[in-house]
Amino acid sequence: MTTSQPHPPRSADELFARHRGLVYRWAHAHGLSHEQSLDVVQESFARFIAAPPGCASEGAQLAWLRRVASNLAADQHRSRGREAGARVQLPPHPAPGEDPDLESHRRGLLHAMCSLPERQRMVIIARLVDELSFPAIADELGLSVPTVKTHFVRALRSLRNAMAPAQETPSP
Amino acid sequence: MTPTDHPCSPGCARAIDQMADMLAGDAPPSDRAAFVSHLASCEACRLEFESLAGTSQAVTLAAGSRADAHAATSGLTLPRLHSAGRVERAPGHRRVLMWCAIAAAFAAGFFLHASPTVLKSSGPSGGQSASVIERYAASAAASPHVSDLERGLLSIARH
Repeated sequence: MTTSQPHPPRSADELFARHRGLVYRWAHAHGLSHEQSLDVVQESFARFIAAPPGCASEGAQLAWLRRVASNLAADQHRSRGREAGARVQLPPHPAPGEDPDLESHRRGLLHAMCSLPERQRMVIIARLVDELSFPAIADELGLSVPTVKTHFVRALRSLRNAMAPAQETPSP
Repeated sequence: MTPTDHPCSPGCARAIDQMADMLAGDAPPSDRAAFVSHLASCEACRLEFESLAGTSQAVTLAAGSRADAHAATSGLTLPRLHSAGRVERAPGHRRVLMWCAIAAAFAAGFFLHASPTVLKSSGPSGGQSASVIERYAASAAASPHVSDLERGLLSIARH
């Protein structure tokens, strides 16, 4: 998906019909469970309906939703972590016996994504989930392309370093 | 070991600059060939690239596919989201309650004004209330505007 051809802003109904799956994937990319991701989808669109952002294009609306969803995901993880003494709820898949490495990746991902600075999180999600180009991300965030690339590599390094202990620790 | 802590050659510096494009798959073919050639000769850059590519893949895998996400969210509907915004309708409810309270206050005021003696008869100063009731009953008997209901209430209050 690229923003080379900007679409006009859409109604909440249209956005929900077209992009609810995308918002779900944003939440899931943070390592949230299915139920937590659904909560993030609902809350993101509820906020959109309650206070619609004055966006000039569909891309800007998506950028707004991405930021809200990502912050909600991070907040939810932090609050759950506080409630459960930092015991995280893993996403339902992979199924037992399917790929244990992936499970440990997810365990680390949940902590790592939520500990990233917001801007780095936005770059990672926009690039890896939305598959936006670096110039498109730079345009959206109001940054230069080299800065976006720097954020991208730094974020990946932070994620890798944060996920490394989880990958080494055997899952319970 | 990362490129920041291994002996940096000009080739490493260029590889680090190209890392984002290579990870994103956006590098032009000529740059890609030079990058791959450098990785073949530099283990540190190769390990760095492989680890970052693995991390990138982990995020992509965690996000899941579009089809799975669409299926997972198929049960969600926007009306449900509307109902989640009940807080937004709360001021309306408060307004109704406010008008109810105003109406109740007017009704109470009217009741107190129209038949003060009925209420006062149950108060602590029974002697004064009795005299007020007597005076009110006398004036009510002479007045053509007092209803039968009020006359009935007054007779109950006198006895």
